[in-house]
Amino acid sequence: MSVVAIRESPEREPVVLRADIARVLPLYVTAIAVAELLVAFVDPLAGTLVDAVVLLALVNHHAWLGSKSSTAARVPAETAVLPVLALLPILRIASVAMPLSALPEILWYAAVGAPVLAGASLAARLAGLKPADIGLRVRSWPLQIAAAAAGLPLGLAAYLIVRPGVVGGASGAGRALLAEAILLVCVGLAEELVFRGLIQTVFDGALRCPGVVWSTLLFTLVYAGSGNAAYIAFIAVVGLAFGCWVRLTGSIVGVAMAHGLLVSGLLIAWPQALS
Amino acid sequence: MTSLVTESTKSVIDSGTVDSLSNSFGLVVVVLLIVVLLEQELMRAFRGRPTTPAARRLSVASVPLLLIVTAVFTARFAELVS
Repeated sequence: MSVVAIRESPEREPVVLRADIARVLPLYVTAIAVAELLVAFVDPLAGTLVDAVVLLALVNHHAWLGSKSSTAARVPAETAVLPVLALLPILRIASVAMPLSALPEILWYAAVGAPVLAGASLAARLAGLKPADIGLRVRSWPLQIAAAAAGLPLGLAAYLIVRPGVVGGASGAGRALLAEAILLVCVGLAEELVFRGLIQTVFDGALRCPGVVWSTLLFTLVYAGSGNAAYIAFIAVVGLAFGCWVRLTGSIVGVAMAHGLLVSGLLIAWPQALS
Repeated sequence: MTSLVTESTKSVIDSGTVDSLSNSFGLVVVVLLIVVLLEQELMRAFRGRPTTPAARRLSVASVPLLLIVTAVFTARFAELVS
């Protein structure tokens, strides 16, 4: 089957950033990388403070550009990178500041995923992106189900690299089903919406880099805190493959399901089956 | 082992009680939310309109932060009454 035959969407025009945003974009990305490394390896509170400053800088930069416009109901594509990039500090702040200790471990994913999903939907609306623009559509279910099925072996591969214990609160058939649903929506959908749906779309062509490169880079960056080099390399390859698939088919539905299955395999199914 | 719940998340949870964590991480989020909401109100006041494009653009930060702060306050309240 040729590439053209399975393409579901026409390509979007690459983004040409405003000159002032192009100048500071590497600084924002570097600051987010520093914050991620601080949270993971030095002091989580210091990293959170850096994330807070970066978040304020991003949204104020964006608001300042909006203050010059009298009719900006829709954000021009050239500035939409700012609210979308702000999702990364929001993700990290939510992951360390949410009071999770009183909850069963499986609900941690729902508690952290909720603010991220809310931010992602607001960023998409601000950027004037319709659901179809960020890959929330399906024109060929067989293709998307084939992509989703890849989540099963990927989950096994991830488990063999990391070998985590079973996530708490997912024992028993009913709870396991609920856990699967939480991981599918709050991890699979949320991460794919942010990285392949929004970042890959809005950053496409920014600083002359394809959106797939941006989404893979930033996706790998937020996993750098795992401290496991093999797992980080695995995540980079998976991110690149998911990005190419979304680029090819114009839909994140299959990779969101694959991502959900990968994580549920990693945290529930494979630890129960093999440990 | 996901970007949402990392090793850092688990080490933060293990490092203190709801009380101590809300006094550090929770405080950062509360202050951040107050700053963003103040900015939104000032933008509306200076423009003299109930909503402006600039103020609307801050909602990307204010809504998720509001969710986190609500969770922090709920956890503190639950700790208080238990």
